[in-house]
Amino acid sequence: MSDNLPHPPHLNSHPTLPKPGVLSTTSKINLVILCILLFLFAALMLVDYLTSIVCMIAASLILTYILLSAVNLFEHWILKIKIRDVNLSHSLARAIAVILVYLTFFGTATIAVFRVAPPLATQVREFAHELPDYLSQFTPPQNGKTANNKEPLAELVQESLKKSRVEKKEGPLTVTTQNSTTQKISVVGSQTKTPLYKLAIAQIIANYKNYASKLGSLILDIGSATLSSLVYGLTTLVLVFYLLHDGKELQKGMVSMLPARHEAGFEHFLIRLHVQFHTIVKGQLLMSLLSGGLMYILLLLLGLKFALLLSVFFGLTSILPVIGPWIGLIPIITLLAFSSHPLDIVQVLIACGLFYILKTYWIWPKLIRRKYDIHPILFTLSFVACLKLAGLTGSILLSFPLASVLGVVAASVKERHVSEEKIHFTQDSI
Amino acid sequence: MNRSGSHSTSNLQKTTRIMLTAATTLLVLIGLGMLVTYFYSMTALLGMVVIVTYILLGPVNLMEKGINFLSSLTTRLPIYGDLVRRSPEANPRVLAVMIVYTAFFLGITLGSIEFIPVLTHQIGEMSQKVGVQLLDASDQAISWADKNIGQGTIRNIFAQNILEAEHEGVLKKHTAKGKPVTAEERQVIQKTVIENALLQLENFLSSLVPNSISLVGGTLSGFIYFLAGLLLSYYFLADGHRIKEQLVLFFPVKARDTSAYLLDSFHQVMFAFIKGQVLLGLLTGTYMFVIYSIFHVPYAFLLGCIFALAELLPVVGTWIGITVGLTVILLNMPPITAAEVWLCSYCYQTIKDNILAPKVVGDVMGLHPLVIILSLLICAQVAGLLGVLLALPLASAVNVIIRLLLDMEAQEKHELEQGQKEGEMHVG
Repeated sequence: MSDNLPHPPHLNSHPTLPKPGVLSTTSKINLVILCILLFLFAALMLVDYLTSIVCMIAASLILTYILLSAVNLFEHWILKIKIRDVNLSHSLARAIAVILVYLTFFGTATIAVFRVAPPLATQVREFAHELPDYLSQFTPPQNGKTANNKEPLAELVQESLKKSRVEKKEGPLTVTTQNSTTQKISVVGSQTKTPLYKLAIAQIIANYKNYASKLGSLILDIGSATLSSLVYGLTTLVLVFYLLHDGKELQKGMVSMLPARHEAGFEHFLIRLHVQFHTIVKGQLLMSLLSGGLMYILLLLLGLKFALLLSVFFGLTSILPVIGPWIGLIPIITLLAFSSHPLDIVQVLIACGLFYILKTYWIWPKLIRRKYDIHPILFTLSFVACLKLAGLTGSILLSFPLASVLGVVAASVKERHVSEEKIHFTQDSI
Repeated sequence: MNRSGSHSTSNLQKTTRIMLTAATTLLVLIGLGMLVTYFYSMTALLGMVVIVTYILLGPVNLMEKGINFLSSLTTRLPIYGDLVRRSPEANPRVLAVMIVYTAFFLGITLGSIEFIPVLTHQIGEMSQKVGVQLLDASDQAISWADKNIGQGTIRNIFAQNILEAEHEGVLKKHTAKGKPVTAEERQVIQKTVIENALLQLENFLSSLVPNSISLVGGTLSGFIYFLAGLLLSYYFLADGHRIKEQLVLFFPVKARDTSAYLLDSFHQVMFAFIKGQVLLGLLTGTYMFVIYSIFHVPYAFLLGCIFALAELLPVVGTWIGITVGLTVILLNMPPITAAEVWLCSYCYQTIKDNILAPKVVGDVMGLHPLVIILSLLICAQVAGLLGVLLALPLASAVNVIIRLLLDMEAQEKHELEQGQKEGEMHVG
């Protein structure tokens, strides 16, 4: 950059002299940071503007990788079939495989929905019905008063003021005498503890009802299948079809769009991303199935109500790495805490710990054989960032694509620096 | 080329350089500010996580040492030692973090079960007493105003300004001057005053807590943020040293030493600061609790807790703590007690500031009190209470960066001058 700008003339006449940097070190560093920030802002604006499309693409990517192994397997089988001693062409075989997988997957899903949905729906209804009752066990009967939106502190002090006013009328000295203070302590003690507690529980119930109604409207939205959601759903299916069918060609096409000297690096990056993504989806699905099943058995053994509902929820949330299982544990622990045997929580936690150890040291190395490039911190941060950017659904869909892209970018940047370092080192040694 | 011409060119360039540096610095600051504002909840979460992590870092390090020592003893045992040697992935650090985490949260739960009743009790009692005193004071004030300023002045002021709709009728009936304030009106006025005061207090308190993190409502995203915070600080504790190594690898080879230096100094500043503040806060809180108990100050426990919490804020914390304490004492006890308590506190503060604090916190800060107060103000404006808690380490981090940049500029200038000298010699 400094070459384009004019130099002081007396330095120009001697090419051996060092040229004074036009930009100071600080402004160079600042410019780099500014470029990064600008890129971030542009990306944020784009994602903000196109949230639904980005979410759709993420969803289709995830679905693609869920179905990928099955498609590869089916293709392998179909290619073995010979019709009049001629093999099917690869493209045709792949298309048939994709269609077969589609049919199997959605057929199974439909059957599963019809088989599992009725008991699940009953449990959901019962659960929704009983949760406020569970919570209101802890609410004293006169909760009509606390439900209105008065600030706890204000109410508390007002009540105690009323009390003191009454006492003042009785006798001028009661406030300061030792005896009445102790009386008042007991009065205030009982006064202070209940309102805050009552209010908190009333708040939780109100929030819960709010969520329940929101959830209801959400289900209604999906059920009524508005035109846009239908379009999004169908587009996702079409996208998944083409991604499954033409994945390799797409990759080649993307690589060929770059200048030649970057092609190799970009291809390496894409392959790495693909492997990472495949590993994550496979591993998380497997783990969610396993942990959901084990949780169902455990909850049945403990004799908890709503075992099916809770373990299905646990399994679904376990698909999300790092933070998911914890979210799934929340309702289980809450329900156990309000049930007749609160100490069962310890058993559930111990079982989860055992499963975690089993997973890390035995199941994972045997079945998946490959580790993630994503540090849990990176994943959690990207989840929180997506939560702000695209809401809860968006963060569930976007967080692990984002985290894996970031992880792979980070890994390749690091590798490039390492290779640079080697070059640096060899030059130095020469 | 004449001399003055070259002089003016280089002069212009100097100005441009300075302007460019200033402009880019400002732009970077604005951009970072925008980013922080956009992801405010995430930044606040990270701030909390950093504080919790550094609070627990000391105990975790200690625990890891203990576990290593124990395991060095137990590897000689027949069966267990065999098992340990066979599982090289079992990490003593992870175990240490788990133990400290469990202990910390168990401690917090048990502590809150034990102390929250006492605290709420004391808060309730104190607010009641303050309320009674406010009532007395307002009674006196109204009588005084009726006597000295003019009958019904206070009523008129209230009727004009702040009253709620439901009480308006009561006061407007007698807007005519010359009538003393009746008992009913007095009650209305007092109620209004107290309600307003409480409202302001609550607004102030709620402004201290970042909204997105407050879990009072028990919202879903609140839960998720809470969980994310717990997980993040767990992983920071377990993997912190590796994270630094990994982060350094991001930078180009040339910048690696500098970035490692920066990260190291941030870490040291944070660790020393938070460890020191927490230790000093605990110590001061305990000391003040003992002092208050000796002088039979009411609500000693509550006041001790307030002092310990206030002490977490650098520089201004002590003043807040002692002001609250002295107010309570003056309201309840003869002034001489207040003087005695203040003396005890003052002696302790002198010892703390001059002997304890430099030992515990160390000399990593090196900031002038004025700079400290300014940075506190700015951070409070940007991020509330959290900003105040993190203001000092942030300020000293900025200090480190500025010093580094100045060094780099000086070096560059030096090299340039050297080059110019060589050039002039060449010309000569």
